[in-house]
Amino acid sequence: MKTKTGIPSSLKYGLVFFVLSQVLLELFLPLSLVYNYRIDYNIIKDNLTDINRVLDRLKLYIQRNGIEDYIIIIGDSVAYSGPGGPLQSVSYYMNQISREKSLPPVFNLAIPAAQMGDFYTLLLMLDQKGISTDKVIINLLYAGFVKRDPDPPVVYWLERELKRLDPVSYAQVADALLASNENKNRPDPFETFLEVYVYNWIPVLRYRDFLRAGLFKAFGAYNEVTGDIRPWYEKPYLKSLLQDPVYKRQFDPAPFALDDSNPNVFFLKRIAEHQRGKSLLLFMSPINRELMAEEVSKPGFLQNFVSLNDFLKDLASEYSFVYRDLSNVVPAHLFSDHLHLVSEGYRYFAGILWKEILNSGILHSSKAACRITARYGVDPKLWILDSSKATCPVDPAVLRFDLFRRSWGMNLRTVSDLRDGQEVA
Amino acid sequence: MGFHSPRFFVLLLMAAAFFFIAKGKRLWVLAIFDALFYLNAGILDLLLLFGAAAVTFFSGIRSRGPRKKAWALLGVTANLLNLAFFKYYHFILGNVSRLIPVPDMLLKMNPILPIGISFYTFQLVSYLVDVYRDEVPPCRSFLLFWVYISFFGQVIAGPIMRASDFIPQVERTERYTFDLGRIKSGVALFTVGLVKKLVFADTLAPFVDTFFARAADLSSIDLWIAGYLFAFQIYFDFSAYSDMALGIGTVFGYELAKNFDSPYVSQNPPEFWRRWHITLSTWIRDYLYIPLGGSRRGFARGIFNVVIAMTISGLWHGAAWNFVLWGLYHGLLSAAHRIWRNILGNRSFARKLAGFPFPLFNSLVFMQFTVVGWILFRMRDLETLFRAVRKMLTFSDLTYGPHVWYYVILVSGLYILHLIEYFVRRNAHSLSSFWDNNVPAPIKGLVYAGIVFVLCVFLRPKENAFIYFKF
Repeated sequence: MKTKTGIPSSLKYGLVFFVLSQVLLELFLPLSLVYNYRIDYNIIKDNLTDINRVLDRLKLYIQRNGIEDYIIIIGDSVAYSGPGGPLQSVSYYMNQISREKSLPPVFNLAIPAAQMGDFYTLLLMLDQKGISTDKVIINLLYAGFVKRDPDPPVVYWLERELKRLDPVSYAQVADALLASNENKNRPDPFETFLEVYVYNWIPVLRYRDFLRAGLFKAFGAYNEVTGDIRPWYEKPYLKSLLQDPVYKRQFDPAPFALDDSNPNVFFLKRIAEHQRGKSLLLFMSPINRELMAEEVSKPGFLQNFVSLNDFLKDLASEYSFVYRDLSNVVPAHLFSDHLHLVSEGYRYFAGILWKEILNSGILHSSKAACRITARYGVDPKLWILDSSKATCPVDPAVLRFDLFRRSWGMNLRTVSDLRDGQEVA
Repeated sequence: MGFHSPRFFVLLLMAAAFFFIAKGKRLWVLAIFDALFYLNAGILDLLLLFGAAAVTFFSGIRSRGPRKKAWALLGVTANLLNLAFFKYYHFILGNVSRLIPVPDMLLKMNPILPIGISFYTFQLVSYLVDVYRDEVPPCRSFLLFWVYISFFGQVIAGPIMRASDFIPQVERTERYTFDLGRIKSGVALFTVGLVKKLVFADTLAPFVDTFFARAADLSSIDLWIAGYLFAFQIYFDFSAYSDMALGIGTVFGYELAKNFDSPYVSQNPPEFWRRWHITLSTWIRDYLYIPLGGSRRGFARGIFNVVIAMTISGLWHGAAWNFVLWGLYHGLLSAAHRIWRNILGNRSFARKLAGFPFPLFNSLVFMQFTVVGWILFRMRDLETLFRAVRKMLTFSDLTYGPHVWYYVILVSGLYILHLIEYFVRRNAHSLSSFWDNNVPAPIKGLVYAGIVFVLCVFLRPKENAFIYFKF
């Protein structure tokens, strides 16, 4: 049947239904589909525009839930918590502690293989989206300061965004980025054009990668794990794998420059400047000193490490941020490889991170800290001290319900409050 | 540029718009868009296609005059040498170098396989042979010939069109009038292909890749699962391309040849080849099997011919021994079927086997043979391949993980889907009429919106090329 316009009425109905589906999708897309305790690397690695989409939904979630205090984690695969899944990530365990102790939520925006230039760019992107960078934690690696030849590029993922948001800084590293072999597979300009100027207007296209992943998850056909999750001592292949120059380079004992000629230092200073007047906790990531005994005992490495620590401490006092060397705080049996941890390791490390956050005074002015003191009459940092030993105290059913409520913008209470029958003021 | 890429959607829309606007210049429009489409593969590939088309066009014209045989032979040889150089150079030289020393300079040469060369070469060869046999007149317009050989709907992966079918359609291009019903049919066919590719083939691809990446360690059960999954992946992938090609052809007023007809319902090898990659099967039959003598020279020679023809068909797919083995395997299956049929003859027992439920049983049994064939097709490393086939056939390793039931359900679902497609295609006319006349517009609208929604969800950021693009 055709209408007066000559267009079949079924097509008109189709158009109406499609538009309606888009409105509903935009209104009710749950955050957990685009962000599940961390950005989903398997999704964003194939489509970097999706990072912006995660940030958009995160902003909406923060707004809808009226969250004022929150901590942003930025980093690489260590902060991302590879190789385990999102429910074995440091951010999952940190949020578990947050819920137990009524501390601010933690949002993990770490991306595996991200470099210092990516961290800086991500901060700029957060500014642009209106997501607060008042409290930021960033993980550092020794490898980041090792001389680049020119790989890995100091901006691994977010080159286009850096060029757009800070062309001056981009110009400083543009030559090195262009020379990089690892950055050769730049997104097709036509695809980027479509992503930015066409797909962004149509919710199903904007969120298609997340919807597809969600569909596969529902059928149990989606793997969020990024590698072999066994402890390092159960991986017979690991020692020979780590002899690969790519991995050897991560502990290179050759002296490295700690001035602006080192692009890592250049972007570290940009980050420090960006965080002036805000809170920033930089930490050196844990190292498996048992597995890497040979590498970390080389005089060159030791000398570099001391110089690096001194440099970072000086920089911290110059720019008023907090630096902690946490390279030695995790027992070797909690590692999955030379740098990454097993699930239990991330649980352990989450407690350490919270302790450092509270010790460093990052939450000094936070409402959450005041609330803890007011409600329980204790110093927040004492409140957290034994958390690293905690077993999962949250009833999974309550947790799912809480996630459901939060996803749909109905969150008025925290999990612990639901459990206690109390309501947050 | 795959048919499922946004870049192609833009090209298709522009081509269709210009095609319907520029009446009187439609062949030029198609010729330009064909070149633009193929240019995406690279300027050298385009020049090669243009050169092959020009040589064939000229040879075709000369194939009607004196020394027609020489000209036809020249054209065919030029095309086959072109294919041999670009597709089989490494294969031939690699094997020769195992027997006799070959200069390093020759081994270092690296001809890059031009996309679609196997398809357009076969189309060009069939044209020359048909002209030589006086089955079609030689094409006198290069513009028309260019559209015949490079039509963007089929240049890369077929269907391999015969001159007698396609050139007359191309000649009628200017007389084609805008027909909404035809456009709707074309869009529907294209959409079916798009769903097959994006939703099924590309979704199965990572599972298949994961299985075959550790093929050497797979148990017998896992190998069967891998084989089934690949069987459906390659079917969805290639038939998706063919459906989209048919849809594109329909929009521009052309009726391209059907390439697939629910192949996994086949009960025996000849039926399989009447349902799988039909235009290649008929090409092999008409230009290889019959010229070899077909079955006219006795039973044994017929069997020999079919084995040879199928083996060459395997080699056409790729320059590697596993493809030769795959072709040989299907040749031997066809030969075994002929012998079996010969033994059964017209006995009453044989007639009983044709009645229900035997067809279903036969289909399921033959499906297992097909799956073993797909293992040969998919695995390049011969040592792993032989070990895998032995494991599959002897069930020597029956270990399985908890995931096995998941895949059993998945494969069963895919087979049921295949049967549904078979049913829908067989009843396409009545179902289409029912859809047009009995389904309320809001329901239709809901279905259309749902399809668009699903296609959007499955539009991946990284385009997975069609498997047959490699051939």
